[in-house]
Amino acid sequence: MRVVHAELRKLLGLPPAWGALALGLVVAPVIAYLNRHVSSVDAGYQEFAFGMIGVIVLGVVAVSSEYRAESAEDAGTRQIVTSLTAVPSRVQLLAAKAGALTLTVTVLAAVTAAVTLTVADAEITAARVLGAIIYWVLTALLATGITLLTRSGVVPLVVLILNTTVVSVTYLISKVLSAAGYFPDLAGSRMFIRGGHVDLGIAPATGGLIMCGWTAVVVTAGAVAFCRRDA
Amino acid sequence: MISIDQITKQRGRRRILSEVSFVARPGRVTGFLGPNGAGKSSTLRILLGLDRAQAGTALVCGRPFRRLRRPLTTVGAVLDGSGAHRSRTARGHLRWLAASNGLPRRRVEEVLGLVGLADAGGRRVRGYSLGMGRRLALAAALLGDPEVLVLDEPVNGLDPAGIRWMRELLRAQARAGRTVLLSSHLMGELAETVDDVVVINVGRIVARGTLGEVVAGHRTLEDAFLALTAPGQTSPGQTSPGQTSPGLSA
Amino acid sequence: MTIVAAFRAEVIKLCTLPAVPGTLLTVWVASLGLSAVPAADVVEYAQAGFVVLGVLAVTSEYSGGQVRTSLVGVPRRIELLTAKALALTATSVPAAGVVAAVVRSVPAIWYLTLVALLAAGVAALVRRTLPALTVLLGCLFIAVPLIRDHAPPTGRISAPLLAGTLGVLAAAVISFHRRDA
Repeated sequence: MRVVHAELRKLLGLPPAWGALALGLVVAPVIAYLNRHVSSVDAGYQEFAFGMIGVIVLGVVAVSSEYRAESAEDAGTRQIVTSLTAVPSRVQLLAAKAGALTLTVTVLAAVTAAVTLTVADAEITAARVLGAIIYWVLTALLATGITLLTRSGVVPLVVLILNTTVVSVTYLISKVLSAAGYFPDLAGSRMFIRGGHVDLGIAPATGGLIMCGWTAVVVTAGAVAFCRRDA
Repeated sequence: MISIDQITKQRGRRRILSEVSFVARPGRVTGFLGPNGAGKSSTLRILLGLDRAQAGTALVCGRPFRRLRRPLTTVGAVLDGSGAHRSRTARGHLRWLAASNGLPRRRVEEVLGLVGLADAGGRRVRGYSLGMGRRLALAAALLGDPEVLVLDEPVNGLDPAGIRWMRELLRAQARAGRTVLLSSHLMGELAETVDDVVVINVGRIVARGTLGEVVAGHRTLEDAFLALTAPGQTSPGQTSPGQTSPGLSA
Repeated sequence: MTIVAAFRAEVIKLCTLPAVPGTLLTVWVASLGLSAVPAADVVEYAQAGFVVLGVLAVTSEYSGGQVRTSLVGVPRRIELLTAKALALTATSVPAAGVVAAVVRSVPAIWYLTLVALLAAGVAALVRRTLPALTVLLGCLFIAVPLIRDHAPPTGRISAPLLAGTLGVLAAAVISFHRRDA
């Protein structure tokens, strides 16, 4: 689809996107290097999860660039008006954005995973690596969905980055409320994390599906909000 | 009274303004004309202390803008857009602005009435049309009942009724003894509004004088302007007041 | 004294920005909720709200060209910045007080206010909300815990934090003073 191609170019043409890519590439390997003496069954994979800040920013930037309020003075100059005149179907526009984002994050995740897992001398299985990559992609899409819903990048940045911290919020909540294991980040982490204390007996594939479900719901809600609002 | 004297501004390698000098007198509307990118906004921003010049002085009532106490009581400025945060209401915006200069709260309602936004005062600025935004900017400028008004492309975005209303308001302000300086590139409208004219091109003043003096020899202000700012025109820089530089076709 | 007027204007600005009460309310509710979770460092998470507060206090100026309106009203930039910083402090302290009451720790007030000021400084340098937030959240939630793991322990209000905040604020003042609006 040439629209996907256009969105890809738009995304990669943004300076913040390059910053986000750099973050995505650098953070996880650096943390893995710092932790290289700690050996655990999740070595490498845990650090890979911590490096998500880059893809979260990417997911936000993919959409928030259309709404930039700080530099644009009046309604007519916002990029979204241009985008919509070029591709009148909003659904098509969003689908193209999602496609461009998925492609970018997949490539980024693959490269970063390779580096991080090597640095951490991790146990590499195809299933785990695939799970880790999917985790990044779904997180980026989640960030996009929340940005569309709240029409601002602030909420997804705060909520999602707080969750990639060394001690994540949902993880803590799950100690009190075991049902919290069904939150997207915890469930999704079952795809590649073997250790950890969240043991609800969620199989990797099931965890992936749960995270997919969450992402689909949020992205759909965001898309509906986007399509129904005035530009 | 506004006096600009030998303002020079450089940004990196580019000369934006070269020895720009002119005055705007009280009781008169002075039009500051130039093509896009000529340096009108840059000059006004330097006058208001928003940007720095490398040389020259820009004085309002004999003082640099930054030295004014309670500047809103001396100068009112209308710049780009509405100048207000989109999530605020018009009233909320004017409230903090009034507080910043110790102006009484009732001024907020008074200026909203003056510009015709009394009914829309409680609405958030993001819902404002382009014209309403400009009116809000004008209301902000009038808050302190200043003796000097500086306006950058004030009729930008206004409909014909709005343009006429703005013109009459500005002329009334001048008649009351205030100094009004406005920049524009809309000739027809300007010719109806101004008493004095300053023409700038590529960062240099190419003409100064009363409307009659600058238009002399041409049919309309538009003709004079186009002749003065034609590409290939070698700008002679300073001309003495009352004289226009010879228009030429290359 | 003109700075008093400027201060009052800045307080009105903060209180009438819809995102501010929203953020504070969220912080308070979340703090209350998290306090029920053992081992949760409530202040650690509450600081995110104060980062947002500090960033918004500054980046809101760059919406719709408001900074120009502010500067015409208060042309002396140091005065404007000082008024902003004071207003931010005056808002942060009571807001942090609520969190401090939840966790029963008075130093939390100073820490959270410091974070808000640091955030404002970064926002003044960067001028855009999302990059400022990314830098701040990345530093406070990823870099700092990592450094803490591998470095000797210090109190929450550590020397590096204080030095860093002062440095950022100084840079912000210089930058704002000299740059075109």
